[in-house]
Amino acid sequence: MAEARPSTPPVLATYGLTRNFGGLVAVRDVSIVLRQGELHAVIGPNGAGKTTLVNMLSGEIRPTAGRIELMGRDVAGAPSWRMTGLGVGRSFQRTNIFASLTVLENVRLAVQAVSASARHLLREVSRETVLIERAERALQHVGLADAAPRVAGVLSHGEQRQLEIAMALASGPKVLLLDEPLAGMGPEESQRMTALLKGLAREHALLLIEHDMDFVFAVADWMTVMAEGTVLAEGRPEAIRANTAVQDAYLGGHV
Amino acid sequence: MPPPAPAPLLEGRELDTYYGQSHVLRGVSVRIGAGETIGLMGRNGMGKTTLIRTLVGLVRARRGSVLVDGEDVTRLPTFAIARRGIAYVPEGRGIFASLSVAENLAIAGRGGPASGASWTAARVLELFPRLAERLTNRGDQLSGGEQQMLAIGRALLTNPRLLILDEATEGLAPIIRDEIWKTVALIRSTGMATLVVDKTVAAVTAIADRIVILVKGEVVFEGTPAALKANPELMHRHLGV
Amino acid sequence: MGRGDLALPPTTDRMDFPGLLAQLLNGVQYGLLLFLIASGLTLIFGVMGIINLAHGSLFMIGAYVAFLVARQWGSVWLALPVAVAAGIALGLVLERGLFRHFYAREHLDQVLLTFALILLFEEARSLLVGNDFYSVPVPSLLDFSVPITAGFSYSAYRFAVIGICLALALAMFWWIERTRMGAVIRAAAEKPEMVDVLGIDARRVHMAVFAIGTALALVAGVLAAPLYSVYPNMGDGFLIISFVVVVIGGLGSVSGAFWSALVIGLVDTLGKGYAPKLAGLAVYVLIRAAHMIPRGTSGLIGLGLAATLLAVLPLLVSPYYVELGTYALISAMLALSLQLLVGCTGLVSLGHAAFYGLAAYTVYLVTPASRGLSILVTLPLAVVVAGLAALVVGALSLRTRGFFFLMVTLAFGQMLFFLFHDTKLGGGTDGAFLARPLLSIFDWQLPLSRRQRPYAVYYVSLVLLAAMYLGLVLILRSLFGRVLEGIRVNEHRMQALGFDTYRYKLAAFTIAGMLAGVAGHMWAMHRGFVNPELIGWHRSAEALLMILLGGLTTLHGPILGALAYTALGEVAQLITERQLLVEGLVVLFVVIALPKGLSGIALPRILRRIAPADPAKATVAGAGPNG
Repeated sequence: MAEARPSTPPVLATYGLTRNFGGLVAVRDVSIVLRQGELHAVIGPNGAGKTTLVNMLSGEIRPTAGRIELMGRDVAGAPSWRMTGLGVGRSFQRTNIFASLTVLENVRLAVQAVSASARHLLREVSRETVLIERAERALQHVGLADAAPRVAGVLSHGEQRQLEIAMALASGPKVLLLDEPLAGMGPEESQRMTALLKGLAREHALLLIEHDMDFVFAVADWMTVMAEGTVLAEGRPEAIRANTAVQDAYLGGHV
Repeated sequence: MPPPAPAPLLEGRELDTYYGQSHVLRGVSVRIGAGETIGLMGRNGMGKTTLIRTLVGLVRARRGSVLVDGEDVTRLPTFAIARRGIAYVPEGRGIFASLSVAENLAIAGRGGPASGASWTAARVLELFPRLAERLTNRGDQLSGGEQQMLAIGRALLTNPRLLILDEATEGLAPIIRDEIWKTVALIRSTGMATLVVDKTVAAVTAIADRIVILVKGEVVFEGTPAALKANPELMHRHLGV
Repeated sequence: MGRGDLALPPTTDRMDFPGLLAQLLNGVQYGLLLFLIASGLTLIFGVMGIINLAHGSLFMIGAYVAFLVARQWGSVWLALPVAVAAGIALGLVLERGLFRHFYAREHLDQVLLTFALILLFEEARSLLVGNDFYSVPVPSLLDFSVPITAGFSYSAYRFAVIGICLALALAMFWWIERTRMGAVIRAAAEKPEMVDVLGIDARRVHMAVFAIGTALALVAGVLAAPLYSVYPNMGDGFLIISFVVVVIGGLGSVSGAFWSALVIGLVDTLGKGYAPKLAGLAVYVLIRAAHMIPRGTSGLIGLGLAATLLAVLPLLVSPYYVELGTYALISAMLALSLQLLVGCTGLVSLGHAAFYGLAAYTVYLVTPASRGLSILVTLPLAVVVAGLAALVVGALSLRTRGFFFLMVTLAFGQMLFFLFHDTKLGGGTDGAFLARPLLSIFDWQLPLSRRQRPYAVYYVSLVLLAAMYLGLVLILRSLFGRVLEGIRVNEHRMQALGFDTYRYKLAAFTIAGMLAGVAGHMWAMHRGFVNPELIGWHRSAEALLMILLGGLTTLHGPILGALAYTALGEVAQLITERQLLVEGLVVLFVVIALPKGLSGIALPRILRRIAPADPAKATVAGAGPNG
């Protein structure tokens, strides 16, 4: 894989990242680099360790070994709330929203998490117009502005996925980690999401886990293939498509 | 004059179903004959899952009726409809997370409707060898693909005449999806009728005898896959292809 | 109100080794008995979603079966097969005849139904056996003590109870974990719909669960009779403790019920087995009833009306009721302070009364024997001490979650309880009197006669309660309050959004502790007396009951709940025995004849309209089909 990658600066890099669960090694010695303006897709069969990798990058679980460098600083083991504060936003594989709160409140909480000063904590929410405006902008960004007053639990599945992304965006992250953003979406919703993600990739370092191969090959700038916890291959989509090891392990007849 | 057709295995007539205030099904009629494979398609929120839940008795239609072998089962409890040979694998798989694989299979096992080769635990494990290796694992310790296999295997153990699969390939890796589709084809070849809800247009049209498309609680298309493919405008508008 | 007292064996003051061993064995034996009751409760709730308040009455029936059989034939042993047979038969009749028709009904209807059963069972007991206490002899075969060490021996009958309970527990586990029907039961508790989809007739499962659960409750009653005697309403105390067991063990979990029953049995026994003063049967009737009333509607009118009513109440009633009203207001403050944790943040603490009691003891400790201090001194002091204690306890306990959080808060509460119970710091077991705080500024004191003073305390309590309510409304509307709500709905997601939820929870815990301190201070001012029971976990459980009674999602709920709870205690005393029969039949008739139950008629709708605003708005529960 002698191919040159775009030379934008690395935003997040891992070195020898490893995680054991009891005797099971879920992720073994994974080193990847996320760059500004690059859409980096991680693919692999179920149980390859993709979600565990994302969970380590977002601080949900601590790595057993290895480093995570965010703009040159080792942040491995920082809890998730600190990772968000440092500029890592994520969405979840299973839609993870506040189902009983309104759409606007979902996003407003996300904005508040990183920007409300302690002095304002006891002020009434409706007076915090700055927070609300920023939340509305994030909703506009993903095309959910009209749904703002609705209760999040009654949104359609696709809309809930969009809301997930609005919540990740609301904290103004530098790195976006998206775990299967297309799961359960129909073709049309997928197209809208594709356009949205392409736009987001220009402004963020974007890491994506996805099973929809057509989509992945269409949008990814760089790909990492994982199997059994390790990196099987990485490279540009064309190179991955041609890689026989990858075909055997994962793609099957889909190439 | 053609001879009178035998009563379909499962039929919904003019079904109207509501969730609270919202009118989800609007006079939907569907017929599934013995051994037939139907692909039910349409975008999210168009009423596919509600139609299935109405057919199996989990949701009560406000108007219209459900018939099995021509007999009205509209007011029967779900378990009675299931015992007439209707198996349902819901979206999200519906496996019992706190039960082991063996237990999940064991509670479904029951004699089939007399005739034909019946599905046994051994035959299910032959179909899905991966489950055999995980018999003592809890349902929530399985991967997504294994969970789906368990859900299908469990449904087969009830020895149904019709298998309903709602989004069986959702969220699975491509090779696992292929495996599921192969399984569906195999089940179909045994003469069991299937009703498949899925978003993968290519896979559904490849396997189905007939396609039904729901839009906003109404049937907008019913016909063969060939007829559907001959109408790209329809494909584009309702399936986004 | 000592009706539900559990007559546990007397304990020695000093905990030498044999004493401790005896206590541990007693705790294990009591816990296992609780398990027999709680396992039926938890299965019936887990599989059928029924809250069976009459389960305690089934236990009582078992005890009376033992009494009657022993009186008739002179042996308790015969009562065991009788209880098993009667329990299975009764369970089948109840399931087929009554409960089956209530699975799909609202909780209110279920509660009324089971309440009616309690009344009828009690009435039948009263007609057949009367209302006296009876002791039941320990079977002569086991009427001896087993020597353990030199100088210490332990009752053979209690050993036998432990053995029988363990055998039954093992049989339960085998049934639930190893048989096909057990698998179906677990499956039905997890996803009832899928059991149906697989073609399994759930009705047979229901009948089996009900029959076994009922038989176990009766057997528990038989085993308990020689230990605790038999007496009217003896099921109440066991019922409430069993509910605590079920909640802590996880609804529907038999193994959870086993471990939590053991823990509760040990905690309760080692806590010197003092009585569960939680008032009995009538309480649960209104638990769900009050749930229906205030949910989610608006109107300052309602609040104003309620406040006005409370404000003019002392002018309308006798001094006795003014004192009772003050006590209700204090309870309301305690429940309201706990609501900040339970309803607003989703933290269920079993040690909340510790801060309440500690505040009362603070007043006692700072007050000179001769003369009370000004409230302007005692109130801030009490609040600060309670708040500091909450800060420390919260800092240590909030690292844990769920079950462990319950246990840790319980443990801290009990530690404090023993501090005052076992030392002379605050008068020991008996408590102590104190000079009540005065309504004074510097040397000027509000001139109150002895007769006027209770009225003054009432109004001070009312003003403090109103201030607390308004303060919490403002807090919930603030950014801080929204974070608490987010934590309640989905804490994990809040962390992923970037909130250090621990700090917010700690702040809420501390504020709640300070507010409980206000209530505790007012208790000291109201009664002029402190005792360790103020701190004990039964007081915490009482506060939780008030919240359940009033509603989990609102701020006015706990206030209503506390008022109703206090009123119920009074009403219960007025009801004579024969009225129970009439009442039971009336309730039964209403539940069966009015399919919508009492909730269907106009009264709740009116109340709904005047109920004050719901600060924790937007409680649309179910997500969409994909959620």
